[in-house]
Amino acid sequence: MEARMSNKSLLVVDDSATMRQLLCMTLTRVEGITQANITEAYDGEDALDKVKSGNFDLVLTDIRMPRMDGLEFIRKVRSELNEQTLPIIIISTKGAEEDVQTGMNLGASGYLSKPVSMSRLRELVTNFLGEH
Amino acid sequence: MQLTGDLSDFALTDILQILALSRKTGMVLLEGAGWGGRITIENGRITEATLQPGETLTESLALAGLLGPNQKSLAANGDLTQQQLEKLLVSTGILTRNGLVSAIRRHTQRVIGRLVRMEKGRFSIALGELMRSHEESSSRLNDGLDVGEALLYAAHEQDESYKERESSQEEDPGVSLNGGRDTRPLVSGHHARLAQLVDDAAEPENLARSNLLCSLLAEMRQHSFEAEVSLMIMRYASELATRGILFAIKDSTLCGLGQFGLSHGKDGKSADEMVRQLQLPLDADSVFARVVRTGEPFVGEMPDNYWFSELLTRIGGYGRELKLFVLPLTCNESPAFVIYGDNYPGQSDLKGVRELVALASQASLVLERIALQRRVSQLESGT
Repeated sequence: MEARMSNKSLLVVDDSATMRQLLCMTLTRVEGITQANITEAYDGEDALDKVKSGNFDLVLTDIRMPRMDGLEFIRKVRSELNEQTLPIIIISTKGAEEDVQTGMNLGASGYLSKPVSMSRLRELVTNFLGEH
Repeated sequence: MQLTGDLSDFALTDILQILALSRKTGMVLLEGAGWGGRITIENGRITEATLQPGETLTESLALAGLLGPNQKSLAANGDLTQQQLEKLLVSTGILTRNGLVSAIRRHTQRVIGRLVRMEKGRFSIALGELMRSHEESSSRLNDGLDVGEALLYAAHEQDESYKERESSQEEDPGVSLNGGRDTRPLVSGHHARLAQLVDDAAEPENLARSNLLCSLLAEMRQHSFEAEVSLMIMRYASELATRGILFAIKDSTLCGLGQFGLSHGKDGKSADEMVRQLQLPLDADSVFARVVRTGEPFVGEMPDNYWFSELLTRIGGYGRELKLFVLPLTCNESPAFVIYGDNYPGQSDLKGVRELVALASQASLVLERIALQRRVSQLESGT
């Protein structure tokens, strides 16, 4: 498992640097994933640029962000970049079920509601990366 | 709430370090079997800590004999607001305002010490959220408590309790807050001596930094992830330098990983983003290359070098006379990370770099242990 994970590349998108840091530290608890596997983006626009120029195996994105939110980011990835297979997990605020539904309709692969459970996040990431 | 997890995955000390380094405001809620705690952080400093069951501030003051029978009966109706407490203690001349602040500080340190020792339980981090009652709470520290200072207190308290338990182990096993598990001292004799060396003829302004160093040294041994170790070094570096960058070494290039103190980059990019795009070649002639090649740190004036000019053009400060340090973090005798720090805009001194070098040297040992443990684990699982 560790050898397989070490080749994976993840993109974490959140406008809060602290939240990105916490997510990154959680992800490095997944066997085989180190900080070197993770790229950070601070909003949808930044993330879109990174997806265009990089080769990611999984994206974790917040929804509410300045400039370009997570929903617009997913829409652009799926429609403009025509990237249909890249798994995108959305991280939504509690009570924003509508956003989650919209995100899933736009092509998100899964979602996590805040508060993000570290164990659930690890489980989801392991499952997605294991499949791809 | 943003993140929940188990204390066995994410130590409270790590959480506090992250929130302190990013100067965040929010709460860390903790819950275990039969206990609950809350730590309030404002702009990266601890302003309140509670633990239940446990003494409230009012109870601590009563136990210390600072509350008379009348005040005690008032306090018996529940914890007092800050205004009520001030009225009881400061207005009546029992304590000065500074004395009250010291009492609150000691109470907070004790509670943090107990919470840090809780090894089993769950945590929730709520960024940007504070309790409604926090403003008025009697145990709120307006100026806040430095996280490093609080952790140092926790380390000392744990060390003391370890020594006490060791000396009375045969007579009375006692009851520990972590459910009776063996508790290693957070500050070993070696580290205590090192801290003593650092403290020699310590000037008052150096004391807090020495304390932080001591606590980081003690804590570092318990980490098992590279990111945590490098984060701790950056935490200490941020006490000495106004700006800093953590680089990872990939092939023959230094790649920016994280930063502190940098302002926004060009094109509206965040400082983190800007740093992530920094790449410095190690095959070119530069101080960075020399540090990586020799494993020896560099501390001094800004060298006249193309790659430094390039770096300063990106991060700001080109043309200024800066003092800086470039330190390697090695693993298995090869540098794995490089830490850069400077005194931008050049008006302050870089004090305490010697201690940072010592901390980096300890960190290298920890990184080697982590790599070794990972290798052993791989061999055991046959991968």
